[in-house]
Amino acid sequence: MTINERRPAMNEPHASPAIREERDGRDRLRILLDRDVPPNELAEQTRLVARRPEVQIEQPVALLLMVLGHERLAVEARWTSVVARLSAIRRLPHQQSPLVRGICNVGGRLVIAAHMDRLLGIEREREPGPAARFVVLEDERGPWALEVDRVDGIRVEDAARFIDPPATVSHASARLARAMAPVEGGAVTVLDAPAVLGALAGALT
Amino acid sequence: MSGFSLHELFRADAEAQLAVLNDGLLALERDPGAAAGIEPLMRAAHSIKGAARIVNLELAVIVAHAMEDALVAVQAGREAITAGRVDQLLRGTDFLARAAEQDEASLAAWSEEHRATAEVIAAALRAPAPTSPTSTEAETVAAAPANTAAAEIARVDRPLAPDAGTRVAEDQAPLSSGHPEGAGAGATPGAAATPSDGGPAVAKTTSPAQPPSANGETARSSAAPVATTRGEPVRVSAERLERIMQLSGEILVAGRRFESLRQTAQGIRDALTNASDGLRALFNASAAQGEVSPAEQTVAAPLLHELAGARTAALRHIEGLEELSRRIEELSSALSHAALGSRMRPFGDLSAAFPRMVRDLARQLNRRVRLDIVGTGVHVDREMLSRLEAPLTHLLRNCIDHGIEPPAERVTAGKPEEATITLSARHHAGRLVISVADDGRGIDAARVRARAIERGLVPESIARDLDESEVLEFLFLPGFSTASEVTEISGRGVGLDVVQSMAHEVGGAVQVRSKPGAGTTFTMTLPVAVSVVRATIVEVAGEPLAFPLARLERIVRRPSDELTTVQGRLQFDQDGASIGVVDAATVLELGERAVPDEVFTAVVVGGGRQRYGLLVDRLVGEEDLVVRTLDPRLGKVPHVSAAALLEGGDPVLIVDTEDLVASIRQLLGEGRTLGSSRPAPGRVATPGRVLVVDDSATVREVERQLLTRAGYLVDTAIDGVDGWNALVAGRYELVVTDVDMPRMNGIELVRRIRADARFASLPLVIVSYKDREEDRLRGMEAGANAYLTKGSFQDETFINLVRDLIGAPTA
Repeated sequence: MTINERRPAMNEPHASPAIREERDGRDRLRILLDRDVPPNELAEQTRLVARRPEVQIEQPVALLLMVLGHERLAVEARWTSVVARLSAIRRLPHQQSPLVRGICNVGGRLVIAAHMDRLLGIEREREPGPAARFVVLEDERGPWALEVDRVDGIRVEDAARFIDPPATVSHASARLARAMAPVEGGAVTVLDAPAVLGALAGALT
Repeated sequence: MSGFSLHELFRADAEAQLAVLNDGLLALERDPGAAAGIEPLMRAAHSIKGAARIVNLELAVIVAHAMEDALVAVQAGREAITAGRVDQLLRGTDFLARAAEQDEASLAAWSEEHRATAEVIAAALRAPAPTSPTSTEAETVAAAPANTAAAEIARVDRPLAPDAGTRVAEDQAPLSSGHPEGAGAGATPGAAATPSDGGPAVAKTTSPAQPPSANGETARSSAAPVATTRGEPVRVSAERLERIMQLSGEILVAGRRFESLRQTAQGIRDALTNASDGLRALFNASAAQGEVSPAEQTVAAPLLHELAGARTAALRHIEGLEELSRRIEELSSALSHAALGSRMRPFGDLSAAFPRMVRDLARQLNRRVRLDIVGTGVHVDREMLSRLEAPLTHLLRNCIDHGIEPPAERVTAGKPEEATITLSARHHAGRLVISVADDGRGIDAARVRARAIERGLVPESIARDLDESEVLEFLFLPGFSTASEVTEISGRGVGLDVVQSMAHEVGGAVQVRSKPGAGTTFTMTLPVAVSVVRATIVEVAGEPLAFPLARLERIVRRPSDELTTVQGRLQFDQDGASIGVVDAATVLELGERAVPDEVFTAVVVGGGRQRYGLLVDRLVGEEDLVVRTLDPRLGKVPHVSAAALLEGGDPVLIVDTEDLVASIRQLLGEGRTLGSSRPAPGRVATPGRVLVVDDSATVREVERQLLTRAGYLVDTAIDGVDGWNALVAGRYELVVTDVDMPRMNGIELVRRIRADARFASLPLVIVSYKDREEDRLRGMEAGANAYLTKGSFQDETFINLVRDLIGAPTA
């Protein structure tokens, strides 16, 4: 408040070039928004907005897109309960399973954390950066926190356009991959969530 | 309203009133002269009647009305309260409780089915009070009437006037019994004295135009789930409560982040101050030397002014943040405590049902028993409270059925006719101690011994050498009963093992002490661990670990040169005693020990002569931890009892100190030193060396003696965790394990052993009392080589099997 009250008016001679430019930009924007829209343009825009998408989605499926190491992965969003910032993972004494990392706090819940990279046979060369997240996969047996390097959000894709994973996919992920989904920027491996959860459950016995 | 149906409201209301009836009737029976005690009972019956009418629970109206009339008659002095009448009233109470339990969907069918029962109960209450209560006990079992309603009553009721059943069916109209009861709600007399009458008041609760009721009680019942009175419990699912606790903890953690925000803001303010001061000084110096032109002055002055303003604003901002941060911390801490407190319930919540049960049972068995309850105010974790119900019910039944003598026998023995059972709850040394003590005939250890031999549980030669406390342990075996005849109450072999398994499940123990002729005391020592524990936090191999203070002897920080090696063992001196030292990281398999500094930090655990030092990286601090159970999918994690979240939000594991002490004992017992706890893979087992794992001292001893006599070397362990530790530390040719054990059961132990490559081919034998095919299958599936029942001690089966598996001992 104090600053604004004492700030010299914008049209004062010593207003900096940057301030002047900003003011001019704002004015231009106001003019654009305040103008009357020509009738034909309005109709055109309305048609554009109302137009049905050209591509019909036959089998919509919501995918959570993520990146682990160099791999682009996806999992059906309905199997994920939370995406959360990373927090400390505490190792368990005498833990023998190579897949179990320990326990972590996700939103006040203690959740078992697993080595997603080891499960999928994906190499992670770097330490997790600021974009890394826990993705919590969950079925009736309970939740698992999996660390990924990045989460790209949820997209609705067409399962009818999925293709079988190529034979070249590494052994571990082939078992756990359901399909490849063509997503802009390339293909994404869609994980078979029940199979992933099954493999993790198996790691505990 | 918050989604509660009228029927649910009725249920909540009835529950509270029924408790009043139950307790009051029992008190009235003890002291029939206390006419003042009748008033609240009348009110309770009356309230239930009114509420039942609103939800159209006609049968409840009939029964409650008859109860009310019977109570009115007593109060008016027209009738004396007798045990028989109290029985009838209690039956009425039970009926009302069952009516309230029904869900709305099945209510119509239930009402149809139980109409006759309700009418019979009501008729009995209207008939003159039965005078000779005891004479009816035999009849109740003797005659089993064909008709369902009567049969249902027969379990509990006494004979009725034959024509009574039909008379009361339509009885909704007030009987002129002297109680001011109008036929409808319109005539609610003496509002303060007759709470929650008046159907319309409740029926209209959804109407916003409902005027505030003059009667506080009515208002309460109409808004029961929202505005409950102080101290009155409300129903919340445990899961939701747990979530509230988790979130309140998260708020606490999130609130602490304000502090770092404040520090950042403070940094910005300091930078602003520096810049502003520096510029002003520069400007002033330049101006003093005449180096600033008037035009420059015009530009610079407002800028300097603006900078000063920003500094002031930052300061205010920081003050605001500070205040908000403090306030949020206070609030979230209060919220967290309140949420935590909501998990605790007074022991009285559970014990309230017992006087009634004891009374009914005692009457049924012709005993005279007084139940004293001590510690109703002791706060117990909700979870623990619900788990305690079955074992305590069993112990009390057991007391009355087996422990307490008939009155005549007591008099002959010079005891008061009325026996006393004392149920007590208290906190002691960080544990919850619950005991059930009677002054009955006590347990005849000789009979238990004879029974154990007869059942083939122990060879006679060994049984002779068992002391009394060892003999009494047989009582906790499944199916073990000394009752010579099976009564309806107990002695069916469903027994004390229930009590023991509950205690084991939560990490506690049960003890029985008995003095023939003087009585028996069962004591359950349970952890308070399902709630909050104060713990010392240390760091081991980079991981924080919490040691509950109650289990911690002390923490020492000493110069490293005080750590000496004596006979191959690391130790230091403490109060003139030598304390053996092991490295925590090694014991816990969390990694190798960090190179010790000039100073070492050790946590001293154990007690008496068994004190051990655990080397840790450093001491972090002390915190109150809200104990969370570890995900059950992890199974029993050795050396860990539970987990928690630290103040900063990071998880921490809580150490199972007893388990750890047992492991250290094994480690040091093997004469091995620091850093070499992991036995080399493929090591050679000591020929003829057997590990026996069983939580019963008796069974351990039996097996030890059998094996020792056959020439084997035997070590014992007291449960799965102890067994695993012993196995890892020792070199065994064979493991013999029980199934039902606390902490880690035999099946888990067998699985764990099989999962470890070091023990893939180690012969494993399960010896259990469980002899069903599915039990056997479970054991074999887990990876046992053989599954025997404990009857096999009788003959050579056990020893022959051991010989088959590992051959005869060479020595």
